[in-house]
Amino acid sequence: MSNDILNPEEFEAFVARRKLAWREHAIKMTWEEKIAAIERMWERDKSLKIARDAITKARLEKQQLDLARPDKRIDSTD
Amino acid sequence: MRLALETLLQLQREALLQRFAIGGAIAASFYVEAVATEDLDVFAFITPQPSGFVLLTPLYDRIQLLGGRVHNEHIIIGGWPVQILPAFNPLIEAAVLNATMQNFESIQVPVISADYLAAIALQLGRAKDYQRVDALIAAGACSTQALNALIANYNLQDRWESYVQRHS
Repeated sequence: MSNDILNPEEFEAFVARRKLAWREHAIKMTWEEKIAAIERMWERDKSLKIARDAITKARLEKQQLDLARPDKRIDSTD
Repeated sequence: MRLALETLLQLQREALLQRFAIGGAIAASFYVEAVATEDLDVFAFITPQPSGFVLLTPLYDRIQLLGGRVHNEHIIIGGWPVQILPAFNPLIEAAVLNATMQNFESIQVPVISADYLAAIALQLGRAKDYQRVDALIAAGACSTQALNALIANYNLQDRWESYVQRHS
């Protein structure tokens, strides 16, 4: 479905229904299920942190490589 | 989580903790949907030393003997960072004394009631605390009468007004 045939009001209503359905589901979960969900959030956050750190590291390495290239050096007279 | 709760109950049996109750996001998750949290907050009456002073060292030493390890302000038990906070004001003291026993994997643990959680959140007054108040109220977890009484008894009227302004 392309964006130009999406009805914004229907889209908003659909999202609102899904959010409500999730909230109703989440509230019905047992305490044990909720604690397990929180523990899964840790795993998700840990994975996101690893991914973010890898991107930052790659970016820094690229910057260092770029700085080492003569044509990218600020003091280049070219 | 189970190991952390069992350790806390063990400390209570050994009288290192006179009384404790689960608070914070983990207690809130009993009443409303789960939100991300990094730790298990425990409010406790810690048994004073014979000198009359309340020291955390004997408690921490015993927890380490039971398999926990200290990491900054937390004690890690069974993978869960646990923060044991002495009940530091009259509202929190009352919240611990009025905690209700709840079941977690067949063990009974004291959990701060939704009304007291909302009152403590109002007292703390940070943005995330007002969100907790809203979640507890929206889920129908609080008793209007009980929360109203706590607001009056602990002078939280201004905080309640702030909450209402934010969420109306």
